Parts: sequence; C-alpha cells; structure tokens
Amino acid sequence: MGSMWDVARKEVSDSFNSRKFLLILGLFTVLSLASVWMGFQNYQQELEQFKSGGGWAPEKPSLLDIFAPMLGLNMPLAAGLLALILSYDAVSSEREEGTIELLLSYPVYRDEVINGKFIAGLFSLSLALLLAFGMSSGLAIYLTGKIPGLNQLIRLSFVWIGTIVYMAFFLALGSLFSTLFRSRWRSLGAGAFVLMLSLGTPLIANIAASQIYTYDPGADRPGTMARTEVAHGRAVGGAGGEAGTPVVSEPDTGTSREEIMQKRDQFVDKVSRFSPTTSFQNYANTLLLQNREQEIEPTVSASINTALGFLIFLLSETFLAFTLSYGIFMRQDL
Amino acid sequence: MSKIELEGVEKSYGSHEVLKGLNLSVEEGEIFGLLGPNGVGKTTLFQTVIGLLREDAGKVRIDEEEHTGGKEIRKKIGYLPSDISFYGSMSARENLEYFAQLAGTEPDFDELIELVGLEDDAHRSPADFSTGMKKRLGIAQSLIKDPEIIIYDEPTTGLDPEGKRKFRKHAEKINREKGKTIIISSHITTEIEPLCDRFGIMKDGVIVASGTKAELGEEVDSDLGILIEVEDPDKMEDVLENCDLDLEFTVDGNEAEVKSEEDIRSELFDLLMENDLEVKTFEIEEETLETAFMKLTEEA
Repeated sequence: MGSMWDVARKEVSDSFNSRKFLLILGLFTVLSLASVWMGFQNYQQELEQFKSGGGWAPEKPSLLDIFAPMLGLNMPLAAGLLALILSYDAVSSEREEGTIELLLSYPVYRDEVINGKFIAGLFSLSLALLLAFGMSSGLAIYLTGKIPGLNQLIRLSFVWIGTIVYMAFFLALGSLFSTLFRSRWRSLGAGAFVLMLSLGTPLIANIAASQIYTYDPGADRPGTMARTEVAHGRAVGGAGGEAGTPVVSEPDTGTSREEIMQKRDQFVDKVSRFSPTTSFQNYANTLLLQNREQEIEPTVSASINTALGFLIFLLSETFLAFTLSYGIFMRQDL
Repeated sequence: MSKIELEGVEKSYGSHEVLKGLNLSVEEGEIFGLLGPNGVGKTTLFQTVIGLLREDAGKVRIDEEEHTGGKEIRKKIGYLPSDISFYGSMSARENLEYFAQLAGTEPDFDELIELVGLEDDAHRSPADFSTGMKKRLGIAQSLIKDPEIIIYDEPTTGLDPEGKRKFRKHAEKINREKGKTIIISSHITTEIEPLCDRFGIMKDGVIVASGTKAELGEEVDSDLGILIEVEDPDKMEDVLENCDLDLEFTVDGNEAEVKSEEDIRSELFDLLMENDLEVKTFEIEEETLETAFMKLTEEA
C-alpha cells in the first residue's frame, strides 16, 4: 500500500505543477465567481420585487439562490472538464512516454498505480473545488453582507460533496479511456464526447421525444387545451381559464396535447436519468431548493433524503467507470 | 546455482506467438549476453523475467523460487529498458529519489549520480537529456534497489563509441566488484562480446544455442579454416590436390584457404615442409561469435 501513496504524492505534485491543470482551475474559479455574480443580480432583483410586493416574487429569495446559476452549465461543464484534464492521460501518457515499463519494474503492483492516480486526482479536485467554493461563498457573503446560516451551510457542504462525486465520475471516465486508448488525444476526445453527451442528454431526449410522441392538433376537442399549472400555491394561468381558477378538462377520447406533453416529459425524465450531469443537477437543485413545489420549505434532512437517490446513482456510475478502468489495466499487456 | 531459470516459457500477443517454449539458465555472478535479431522477443523475455508480463505457459524461477509477480522478486532485479524514459516533470535526481521511494531503499544518490557522471546535470529534467545521458541515468536507476540481478536491454543502442566503452567498463566493474548477475541483450555481437562470460542466441522465440564463445563455435559445427601463404602457389595447389588429407581448398594469388572437418593442422604443416614449400603464413581462422550468430540465426 505504501507504493500507492508514493504514486499519489507524485501525481498531486504533478497536477499542481501542470499548466493545463492550473489553466482549467483558473477558468473554473472565474466561472464560479461569474456565476455567483449573476446569481447575486437575480437575487437582488427578486429581493427588490419581494420588498415592493409587486411583480413576480412569490417569496423572499434565499442566499442559496445565488449559487443556483453555477449549477446550470458552468459547474457541470467546467468540473467535468477539470476532472477529464487530470485523468485523460493517466495511463496513456505513461505508456506513450515509456515510463510505465520502468515504473512497473519496481515493487509496485498495477492496482497501486491506478488507485494512487485516482486518489491523487480526487484529492486535487477536492482542493480545487474547495478553492472555487470558498471564493464563491466569500464573494456571496461580500455582496449580500449576509453570512449563511447553519442549514444553508449544511446544504452547501452537501452540494460540495456531490460535486466531488460528479467530478469523480469524469475522473474515472478519463482513467477508463486512458487505459482503453493508446493515444492520449483519443482518450481526451472520447472523454470530451461523453461530457458533451451528458450535458446535452436532456436536449437530445427532448428532440427524440418530440419525434416519438407527435401531437396532432386535430385530435384535440374543445376545452382539452385548458391547462392549470400550480406553482408555489398560485395558479399561473392557462388558456380557457382565469388565473387562480382550476379548469377541468372535458373527457377526451383522443390523445390530448396535455397527455402528449406528459409522455414527452416522462420520456425525457427517464432518458436524462442516465446522464451524470442531470443526476448532479437534480441533486444540487434539490439541496439548494430550486425544484421546490411545496409551499413549506423542506427540512435539511428531507432535502438530503430526496437528493441521496441522485447521489447514489452518480456514485454507482462512478464505481462502474472505475471498475472497468481497473479491470482493463490489470489485464492488459504493456 | 542458476540465478535465473526459464522453462518452456510461452507468451503471445493475441495470435502472435513471441516466446515459444523458451528455456534459459543464467548462472549466479556471470555476465550473460542475449543475442538475437530485432523483433525476436528479447524484450518480451526480459519483461517476463521481471514480471511486467505474465507468461502464458512455462515457469520463470529466480533463485529457484517461482516468479509469480510478487514484490520481493522484483526487488532483486534492476532493469534498464531499451527505450528508457523518465518523468520530465521532475529533475534527474528527483526521478532517482522517486524510484527509491517505490523500491523502499535509501541509496547514496550522490554516489549513484557520480558513478554515471551526471553530477552537473542532476538538477535538470531528463526530458532535456541526450540519449547517452538518459542511458547513464538509467544505469544509475538500475542500481537503486541494490539488486542481485541487472537486466540491460540493448544498453549500447544510441551511444557513441566512448559511451559504449564506458558502459562496458561500468558493467564489468559492478559484476566483478559487487558480484551482480548481469544479462545484456544486443543484436550486434561485437558490442557485448568482450564483456560476456556466456551467450544465448535467440531466434523465433526460442534460445537456439547457449554457451561460451568457444562452445557456440562448436555448436555450429564449423569446419576448421587455415590460411596459408607461400612463395610458389602452383606447387602448393599441386601438393594439396594430390595429398591424402580430407580437405577442401581455394587458391587466390599466393594464398590458399583450406577447410577441413578434422583437425589436420600438424599433418598439413608437415606436408608443406616435406614438399619444400616456403611457408610465409600459416594461420588458423578462429570461429568468431559473429559467424556463430549469423549461422545460428540464419540456418536454424
């Protein structure tokens, strides 16, 4: 086991001396700060609306809302990219440069090499994330002049843990491709493709759903277009009904637009579950209270319980990618 | 006692068979030269001995203990790969320190660096080193574990004549002074011939012959060659044609090259004297390692 830590120490040192890692880390931090800035602008706007009592501010915005834009695209993209940058050449570069032969001629088992590299990557990413989260939180406190309460801190800590797991998935994926492909560029290309696929899954699923579940306007009967959307306890309107007044649809023998939409939503939801990015976003949004439909704010433990399912799914995807990477590396010829 | 013993070792990459039931024995304290053309499987053989590759069949024994890829046996073997590379992110000295950490040893780094003459360059990244400097650092690296066995895979490739001479001197020194068992591979016989006690000639994934230089000469069963130079070649030709000795010859100018399956040196010399031939040269052509290598790798 001693050798595994020796490998890990060297890898951590390499990461923090690597220009590409520092560049992506810088980009990652800047994106996080920019997201917090955007979040703050929205927060201020909603706060103004809430104070004036008009417009569209159902409730007082939370400090957690400031972190929401980070999870939209910036964090999933930059975090995934940072993890891939650390691992895409973990094994392939050793093979390309010929150092693997020398390394394994020492009393080091192969599993110590791959585990050491993975642990080092995880450690470097956790530090990088701590830096980005720390700076973003500092900026949020500076801008709002408010210090997060204990509940908010717990929620943010869990988001930090979830982000590490999300990064661990792409770390394991990069490691898998670096064992699978002899060329480091192919490995990076494959990793980037999966990242883009993961980010674009909801969009792709939506396109596919609109092709599978087509809507024929002729099938609708009068009144079936009426929709009632209830959000935060307030009806937001729908054709054929006044705001705040639920509209009962007439019995429909054909497939209504509402049913089609429901099927499409179900399809998108089912397909998107396989995307690590969607799992991560669902996890983080649950913790940051962004998907809330109930009037009463769920407790921290209730949010964690709900979010845990997404985290477990993400963990199992990470475990699968790492196990594959491990299995291939243990069996392959140099 | 056999330091390294390979018995019926087979190794394939997919459908490509590289080692085909290879047998080899290297004695303790000797310098063993492994000769073979490029692509014959020398590196695969070394990687199997070190435990980088698992043999498909057969057995590899180090000190009579079967090598199953464990750490203890790897500690006994120092290795210099043919195409050596180091971590460019670290200096030459840091590379040595890293490998020492992995080996769990604490060698005298200054002594190692001095041994290979890299005192002035130890702080530099090996990525900026020439091939010769990398090889020298590789030699220092191969000694980090203070191993009982050192494997040098094509160590002289890419070295200039001075570098080759220095390598031979160094290998001889660590063999004689420290008693290390050394295996060196090459596809050029002259580069390792003066250094090795015994040789193994490899072809098509097996060792086709092994032994000392003299034993290999016998192995190829070559005819005895004698070069004779006389004043009167016509008379010599007449004498050789009509003698009772079992020989074949060719005459070129004043010289004749005589070949015989038997040792006819004294009878032939007497014959020339009896016929009053003025012999200017009577030279036995020694069987060289090169000719044995050529014959064994071409004919087998």
